[in-house]
Amino acid sequence: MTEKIDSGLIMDQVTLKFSSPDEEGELEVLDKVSLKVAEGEFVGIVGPSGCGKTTLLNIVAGFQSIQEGSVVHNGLPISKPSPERAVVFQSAVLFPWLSVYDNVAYGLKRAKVSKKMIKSTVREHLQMVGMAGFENYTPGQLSGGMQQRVAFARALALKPRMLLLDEPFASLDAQTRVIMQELLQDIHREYQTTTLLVTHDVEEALFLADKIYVLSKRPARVIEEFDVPFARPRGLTLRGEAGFAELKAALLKKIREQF
Amino acid sequence: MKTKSISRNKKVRKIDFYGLIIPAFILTIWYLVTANGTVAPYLLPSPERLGRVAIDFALGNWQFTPYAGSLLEHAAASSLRVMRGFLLAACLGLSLGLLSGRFQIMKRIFDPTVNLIRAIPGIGWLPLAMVWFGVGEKTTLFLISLAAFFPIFINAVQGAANVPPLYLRAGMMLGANRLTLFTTVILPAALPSLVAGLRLGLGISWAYVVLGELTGVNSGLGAVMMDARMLGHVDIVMVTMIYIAILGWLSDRILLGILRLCRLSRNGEIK
Repeated sequence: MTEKIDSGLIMDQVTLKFSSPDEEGELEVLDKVSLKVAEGEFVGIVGPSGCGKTTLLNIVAGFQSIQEGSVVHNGLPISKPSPERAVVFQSAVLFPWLSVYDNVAYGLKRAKVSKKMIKSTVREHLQMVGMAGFENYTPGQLSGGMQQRVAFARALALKPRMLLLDEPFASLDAQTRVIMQELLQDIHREYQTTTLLVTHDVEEALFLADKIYVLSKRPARVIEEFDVPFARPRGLTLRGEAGFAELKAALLKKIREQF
Repeated sequence: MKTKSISRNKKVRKIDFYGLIIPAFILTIWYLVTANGTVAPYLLPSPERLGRVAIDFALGNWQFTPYAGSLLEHAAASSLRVMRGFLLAACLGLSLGLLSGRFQIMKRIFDPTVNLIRAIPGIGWLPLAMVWFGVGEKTTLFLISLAAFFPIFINAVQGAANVPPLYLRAGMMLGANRLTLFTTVILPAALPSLVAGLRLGLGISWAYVVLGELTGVNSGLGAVMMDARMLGHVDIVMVTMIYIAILGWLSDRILLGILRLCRLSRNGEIK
């Protein structure tokens, strides 16, 4: 696999320490983390809560700078946020003062896309996430699941080279979560966008990802990297299969050993 | 779409009769004590007389007082002073406030001085202002701007500083640069605070225009008030108070209307 990665994301020996005000010295968050996400690949990152998963994603997004190591996306080091790497946060983080339409159009307007083009792009992406007809609603009028759908539309409308997902379904109810996971799988099949998913939900990672990295507790190290063997498209029944349950149990054990 | 019926639930104005108990009581007592002569008219005119003087002050149809028909002239003079002072305060307060809210260095430069000056009550500036600017126009303008500046500034700082960091990240991730991040994220997110500050500032502007005008200018409602007091026209003094209250309320409505217009015309994106 390693040979074909020039494009995609390469994180090499990344170490990050926060200076902590209450404790003496520093808080070590990441310890020589290396990982690779190939073009078009869907990679999941799981680990115990508080291990630095989100920090890792923030680094890739360009929200957080690092002290040691390197993070390279498509051959260029990451230094600041960019619409090339669109983020879907745990909460939707839509702008409450804009309508659903204007939220999805926001990034396109910043990119100086023509009005006509914006209109068709917004239509297309709202359609895709099942939110057509809600253009004039404000985020406050939508449920959490619907808001998250709009957040996906907003991120994908930019045609990003990479999609960064930070526990995007964690705040949704169980039913909505499963529906959204299937939607995400459909989206990935259609657009083949390189995706990095951070989650504490092992089942979610197994269902969606091609490859999973398991992180240790803080300071986070990669303790396991493995390819998910299930064929695509993956259906609802997969979760009931013995192979799925076995892998899930093994993964959970790995994570639990960290405590 | 159904959106309109959801977003604009009409305000149904219901008059709460409990709220009218005290005004009705006061009005009755007022009527009684003036009708039977318990209180002399030069101290407190009857409600009816006051109403007539108010109309006369506006229209000049009865010529009850030397001020008959001069409301418009004085109201315009006061409103103009409020507008000029308030605009100056708003420009300074909003720009310095937003800067201080976003940049630590600006906050460190301005905050101590602002708090120091704020410790002096606005009225306390009056004698010094009279020495510096003379009696009248400039003093009034100075007092209004100074007093209205603080609530506008403080609310702007708070509004700009409290923009949720996730909104900023979302904006940057979606391709906003420093300028567009300010105009499309920080400004709209801070808007409720800015509006609150502006409304407070406008209210204070009306208080200080009266103070400034009391010190002896030729026109303006505050000037009429002081003049009428010396000529023994308590009715005009009271009528002027009522008109100032109405103008203050009216200007607040106008300010809100202008702000709402800005918002709607840009799909909520303020530019």
